[in-house]
Amino acid sequence: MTLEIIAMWVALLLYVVATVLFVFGVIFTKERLLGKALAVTAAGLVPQVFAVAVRWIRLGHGPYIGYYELANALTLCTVALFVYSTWRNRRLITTGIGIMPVAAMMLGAAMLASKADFPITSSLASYWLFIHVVFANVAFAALAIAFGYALVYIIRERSGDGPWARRLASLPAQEVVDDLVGRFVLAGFLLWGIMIVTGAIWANESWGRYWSWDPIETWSLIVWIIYAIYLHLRYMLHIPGEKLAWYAVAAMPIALFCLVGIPTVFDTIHAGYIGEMEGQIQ
Amino acid sequence: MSVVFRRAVRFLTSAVFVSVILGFIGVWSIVATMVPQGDPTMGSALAWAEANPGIAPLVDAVGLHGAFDAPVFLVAVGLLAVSTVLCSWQRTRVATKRSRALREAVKPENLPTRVEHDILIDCPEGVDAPAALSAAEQALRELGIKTKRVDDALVATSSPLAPWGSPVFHWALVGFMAFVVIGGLVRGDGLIGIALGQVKPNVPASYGRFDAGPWHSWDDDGLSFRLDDFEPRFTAGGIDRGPVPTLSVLDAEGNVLKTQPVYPNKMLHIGALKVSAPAYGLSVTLSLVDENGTEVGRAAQLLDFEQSAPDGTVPLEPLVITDDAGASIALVHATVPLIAEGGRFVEWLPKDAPARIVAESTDGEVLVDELVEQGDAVDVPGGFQLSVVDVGWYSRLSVVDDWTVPFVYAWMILAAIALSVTTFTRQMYVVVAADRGSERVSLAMRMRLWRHVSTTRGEITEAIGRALDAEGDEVA
Repeated sequence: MTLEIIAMWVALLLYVVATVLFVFGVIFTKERLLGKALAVTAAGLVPQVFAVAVRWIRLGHGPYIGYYELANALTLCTVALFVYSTWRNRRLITTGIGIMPVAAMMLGAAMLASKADFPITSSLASYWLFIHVVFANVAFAALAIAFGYALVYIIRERSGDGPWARRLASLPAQEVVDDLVGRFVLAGFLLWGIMIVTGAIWANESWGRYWSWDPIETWSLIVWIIYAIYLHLRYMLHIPGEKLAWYAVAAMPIALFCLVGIPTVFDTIHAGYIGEMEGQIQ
Repeated sequence: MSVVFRRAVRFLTSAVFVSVILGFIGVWSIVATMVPQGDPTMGSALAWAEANPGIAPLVDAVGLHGAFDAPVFLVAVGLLAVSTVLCSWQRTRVATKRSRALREAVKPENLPTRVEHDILIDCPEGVDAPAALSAAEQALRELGIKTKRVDDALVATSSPLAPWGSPVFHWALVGFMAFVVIGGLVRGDGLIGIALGQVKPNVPASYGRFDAGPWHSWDDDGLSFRLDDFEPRFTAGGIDRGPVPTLSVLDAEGNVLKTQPVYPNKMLHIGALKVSAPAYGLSVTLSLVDENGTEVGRAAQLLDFEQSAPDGTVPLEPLVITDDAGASIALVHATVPLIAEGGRFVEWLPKDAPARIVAESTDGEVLVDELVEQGDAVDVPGGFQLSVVDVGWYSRLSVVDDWTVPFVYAWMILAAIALSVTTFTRQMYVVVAADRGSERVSLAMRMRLWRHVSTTRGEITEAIGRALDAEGDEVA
């Protein structure tokens, strides 16, 4: 087992511990436990960043290719954005109960995937790869945070004056959480759109065609449309909070499927990014 | 008429309509990814139809095999485009009003007063204007609103440009869609096969396949393509780029305008033309010599690799030998027998490769079938000799002529910038003025909280009231 893999297991362990602490901290309304959960989450970023850096230096490219690298990068961005947003607004700390289980599961899935080394192939060797993938990761992170906030919003909304409302009492008012869901969706929508734009420019520079209705392209547009509908429902139709929160919860797995699931289901010219098309170094 | 028009506009700009049409496009696209795209009579579509006999007729009827060219889809996108234009216009009007309001709100003559205000808070006795404003400033800061002091007033206002994010984003989408449509009309793209050392002009006859929109025009640019080199294994930046041609573009006088190796992520750009090299194969250069020993013709036959072919290569099209009157005598097919390893042909140029020359009569009778070494010749019908000059590589160039691409990029980038403005800027103003018109100081407030504001009108009133230990009296 290499240092990189050990660091990754440590990161996963810390995220699982953080998840447990968030769950217990919320259930037993222990503020100190929640503080420790956030600290453990932030601590988990250290070995994960270390592992990514080690691999980056060894392979000469960032986490762009193969399920292991993809899920790793998506988790890293999600956790980093969660830590940052909670650091900015400490009252959001209990949203960890909605976000950290997702992050832990994604990193767990990454650890179960093949960790084979994939080289940068000729078709991927472009500075657009970095730009395109960074926007994909950050867009997903924003949508995952919106998912977590929406989940907490729903739990508190459905609880009424019940125990969960008391457990989540430290959160800002429901209107503020609802507004935050909308803002993160809007940010995710913007970043996802930039991902599509950068991908289109790259495709045109690489293949002479900026759009070819390939399944990955089509599904990325579908996800964008799904969130466009959300934004119209929110800002134009003013649909009540809980319905929209359910919408944000349901939409995030579709975004995740688009990023990591498409090549397993459809034939796509983008299969190279999961390492299927060209040779791998074992 | 105007009533009908107004109703149509209201319908097309309604959020319900936009959501439904977006939903339809989304669902249609999802289904489209599950159905083989392309000609419904082709293999994969037929196999899918056999596997799904229940829904295949419906899929065929609505055109889901060509989902993104289907009339249903195009009508939906057209309606979305019309709706976007109308929405953009509406948003422009809203942005104009908000932008003006933001500029006007901070003008001294428009500061709220005891008489004209949205909210008026009477301060307790003993609180002077500076103290009241300081308390309000602190209360607003705690609600996430930073203010600046202008005389006896606190002002927090977003940039007058902030409301323009949404309309500019929607107009950019309109521009993007318009240029995508124009691109479809003016675009031309095709494939040219070009053997090593060969020069081919950029004219329709050079293209093996060319798809052009109805507005595409063949400007006589006088350009030619020349294949200068072909590297079967090219490395750049430490990365194996595979087989890479080096291509030159020549002007009408034969001057070289540009030369470069062409490989993935490194297309050759010249004017509106983009040239990539998606495939390669072998070429056989043949020379036709008459009975006097005079060369009467020379041509390069281009071969693609084909595992199912007997030799592993197939010519793209036969060469035709004609008599003096121009009548066809024979069709010549040249192939290069590849080396087979493990039941598969090695798709590479064999060393000192001979060519198999097959000449057929026009009715399909095989007249000649011989392996010919490079430099050797074989007798073919009509009293000619056909010699194999050399066997080498050919590169298949993909040439795209589309001047709209930079404009499509520009609209996409503008849309991204405008959406960033919408996403990250607030649209609001809060003006709090101290009014000393009576025995007690009052705080007169005017505010508009349109978008991305961290608080509400009620919270502001309550927080300032609490800070001053006073009651707010909101006026509608």
